[in-house]
Amino acid sequence: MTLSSERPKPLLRRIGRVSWRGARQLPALLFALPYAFIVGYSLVAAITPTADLHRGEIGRFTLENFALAWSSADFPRLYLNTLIFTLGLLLVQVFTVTMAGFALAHLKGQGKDALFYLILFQLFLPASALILPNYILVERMGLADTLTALALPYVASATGAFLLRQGFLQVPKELVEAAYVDGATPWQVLWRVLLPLVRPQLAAFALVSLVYHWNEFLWPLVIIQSPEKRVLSLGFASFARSAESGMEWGLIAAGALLVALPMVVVFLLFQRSFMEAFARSGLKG
Amino acid sequence: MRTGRIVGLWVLLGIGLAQSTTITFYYPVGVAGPLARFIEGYVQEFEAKNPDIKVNTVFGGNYEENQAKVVAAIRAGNPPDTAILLSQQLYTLLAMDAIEPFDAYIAKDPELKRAVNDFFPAFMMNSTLDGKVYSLPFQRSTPILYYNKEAFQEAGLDPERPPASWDELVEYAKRLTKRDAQGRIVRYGVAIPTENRSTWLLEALTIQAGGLLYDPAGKGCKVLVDTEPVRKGMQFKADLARRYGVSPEGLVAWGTTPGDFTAGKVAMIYHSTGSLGFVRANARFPFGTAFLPKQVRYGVPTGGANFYLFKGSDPKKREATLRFIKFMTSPELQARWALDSGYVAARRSSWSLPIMQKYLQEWPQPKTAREQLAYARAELPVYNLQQVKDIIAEAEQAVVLGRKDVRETTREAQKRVDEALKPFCR
Amino acid sequence: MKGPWVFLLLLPTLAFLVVFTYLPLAVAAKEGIPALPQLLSPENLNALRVTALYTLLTAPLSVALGLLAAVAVEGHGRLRLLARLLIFHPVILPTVGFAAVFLYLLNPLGPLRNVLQAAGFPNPLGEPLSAFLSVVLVGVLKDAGFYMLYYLAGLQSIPKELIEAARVDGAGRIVTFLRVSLPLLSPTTFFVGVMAVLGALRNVDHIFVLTKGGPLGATDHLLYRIYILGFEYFDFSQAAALSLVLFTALTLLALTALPRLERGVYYDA
Repeated sequence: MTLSSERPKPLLRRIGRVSWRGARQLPALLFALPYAFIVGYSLVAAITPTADLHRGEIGRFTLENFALAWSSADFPRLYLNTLIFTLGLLLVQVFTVTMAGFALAHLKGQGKDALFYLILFQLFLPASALILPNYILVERMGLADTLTALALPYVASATGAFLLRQGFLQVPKELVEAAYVDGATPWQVLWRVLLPLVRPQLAAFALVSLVYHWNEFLWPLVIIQSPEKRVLSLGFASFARSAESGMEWGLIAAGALLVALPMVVVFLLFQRSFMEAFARSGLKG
Repeated sequence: MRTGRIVGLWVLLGIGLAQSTTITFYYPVGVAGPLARFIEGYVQEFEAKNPDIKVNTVFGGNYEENQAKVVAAIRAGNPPDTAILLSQQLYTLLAMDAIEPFDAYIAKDPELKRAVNDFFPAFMMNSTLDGKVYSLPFQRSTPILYYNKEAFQEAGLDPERPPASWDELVEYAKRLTKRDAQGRIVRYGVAIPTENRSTWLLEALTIQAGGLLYDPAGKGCKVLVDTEPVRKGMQFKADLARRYGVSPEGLVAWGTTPGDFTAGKVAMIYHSTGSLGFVRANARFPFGTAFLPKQVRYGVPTGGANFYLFKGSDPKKREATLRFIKFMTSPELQARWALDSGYVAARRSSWSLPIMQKYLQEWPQPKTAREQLAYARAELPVYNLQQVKDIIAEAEQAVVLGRKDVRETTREAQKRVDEALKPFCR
Repeated sequence: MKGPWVFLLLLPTLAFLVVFTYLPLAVAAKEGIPALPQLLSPENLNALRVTALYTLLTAPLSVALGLLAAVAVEGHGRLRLLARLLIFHPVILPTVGFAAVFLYLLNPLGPLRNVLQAAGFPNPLGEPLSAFLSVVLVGVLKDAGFYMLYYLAGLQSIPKELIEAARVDGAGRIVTFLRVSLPLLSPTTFFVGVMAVLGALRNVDHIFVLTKGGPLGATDHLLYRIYILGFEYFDFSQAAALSLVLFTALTLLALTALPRLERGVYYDA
């Protein structure tokens, strides 16, 4: 016979369990508190009427900043251009980094180290430092003011090649050999057998590439001329960087959120794969 | 024979209409907010009125970025047809041999001639060299004093009598600086920004102290830093915080100052008349505008940007470009642009237009800048402009931060500026 | 058979590398070498100093922050995911936007005025030392989120048995972490460390918004100065020369790191 006092009610037990789980996650939230604070300020600024912000008051809610930000720049077009640029580039990069990563993983022979260093050296040469010569180059090719030109310096990505190389090194030799035995050509082996196996690495690379190029500012500023080809970072800049007057915080915050929102989605989609890629790729000793 | 001529005329007309000319136009956004949209709007209006011209607008960023883009384009062999660049940039552009004077076209075009004579002379000061006109004003401004009338009343000052001199400014500022129970300052009396890479307000102080930051006879080659008026200006700014305690310590940032003013945290500020729109929209108290206080005299530099004409254009494009510039600098558009942006309408006739008159009845503050033009000087016109500005601005920072003695600072800065100008001025 | 295939696969990458990375290098070298003597000017030496200090502070701090964040948010759960998103958000925002928030927060007359005064930094962006530290702060916060992800991956791949074994032996949480997890994370740390140094040398967008190189040159990062020299003073030779200095530093980094990166890979049988 069990006394009812010995057995906690099922509902209480569930609540207890959930809150214990929640409480255990508390350290995470505590750590994120300063970040939450910063995000909080941006969010509050975005939904507070600008006039209030400039008087130092908060509390009123409005969507006028978003409306004003939206109408200050042709957002649909900005989103479209940025999507075309980042996704288009990513698509090309998938090809180049997969091929390069595979090649680097299977390099044999004398030129091996030299080639490796030659390609990976690019990790250490930021395109930002090469803006002027790259601009002149692109201009001479007649490709200035195109989304293509935006992408060209990034087609060869050492980061991607490195990541994919790690991925390909994971693949057991037996799998590859079995595929050859089955009569597959090297090309087929690469795209049919190996590619699915390096999905985490590709996802990781996609995250890196998308986030970087989505927010990239300096190179587009130099290359893009026509208003209809502008990308998000340029559109955002037009009301974030004023020279003569005061800063419109509400507008800037709302604009920043409009620009960043798709990347939030990307993050949520890719963060698992990203970590999987690194967990498996054996950045272990 | 007659039909032949008529047909010929129609053919020519047809050809003329069928061929549209495309011109490239770079512009900056110098004032916060959706100003780029206004400019795009004006361009569309122009294109609607001139169907044979298409204007390719290039948003260049802020003043420095836009300048960089234009220069990059020129160096890549692809100069724009026109651009809005700082009126100060004349010498830099001349050194690059990138621009052409307007004179040849002014001689042939009565409308252009009228425009040139209609601009406020102060705004033409940065445009002319050796009797030639190299740029036409578009978005111009001067620094002015904004003051909080409510705070004035609270401190027992007459809200219709803003400070007229440096001494009065300090006196007023002392009375306007408010502290809380714990002795912390909740409102500063005055804030004069020390913008990181600009000499605009220092120039104003220098002029007020009786001097000038440059030698007009030097033709872009002589900058006067090691002089008493400059030192007075720097020291005055430094003293506001360190000696009188009426300004925040350290460097006061340009971009946050209007917001601080409208939030009531500082009772008087020096800022561009271009911020008028911002202040008007955000201040919940009555505010006034006034000339910058004098020391020996009133005086301010002009500011803002002009239209330039670039070499490398063909006659058709040049003709289209001039039509565009005339449209953008017309009295009507200057008036509308002033209302939309807060800049000063650069054409005198703009001020008598009905829309301007109506606006001024409700908001008389824009008149301050216009009236101050009587005391205005050209803004520092030199070669190697940005580097010179950076050197002087850094010197000013050293003084305001109390790091260096003002005499030593200006002496060193003079040497560095002369060095920087040497490659351009033999 | 492998031989020619390998090169074929590498061809596109190599081609673009040559045209858009190495060719511009050559151009920079050609432009910059005449201006090498100018590198000894006080302004350029200042930029070198600032960059070295900035890197020495930002890189380790952002790595450490990434590690701490990973430890704090490891595991499942929606709240943890939220924490991860919050820590990662600076990466997602355009740098100009993220830095603008600090412009607002660090205003001496702004919302944090009393906090700043109490902390002894009444005008963070308006005085040289505190401006430098502010720029470091923003730089650290901006990228730590990414490093957190790398460390989370690293933590995930530590075999649970090892942790349990240590616990069974009586080791506390912290000791376990220091003695077991941390050493096992050293390849990750190395990789993240290299990324962090790279980041410190090439991410300067926030300087454009916050301090523009000042006050008094306290935040005049090498890359920022290169931009100013090239695109605002139009002194391409000096800009190119400074670029060569930057490339040299980067090359040294590459030479130290690349061999380790190549070898430090452990793959399953």
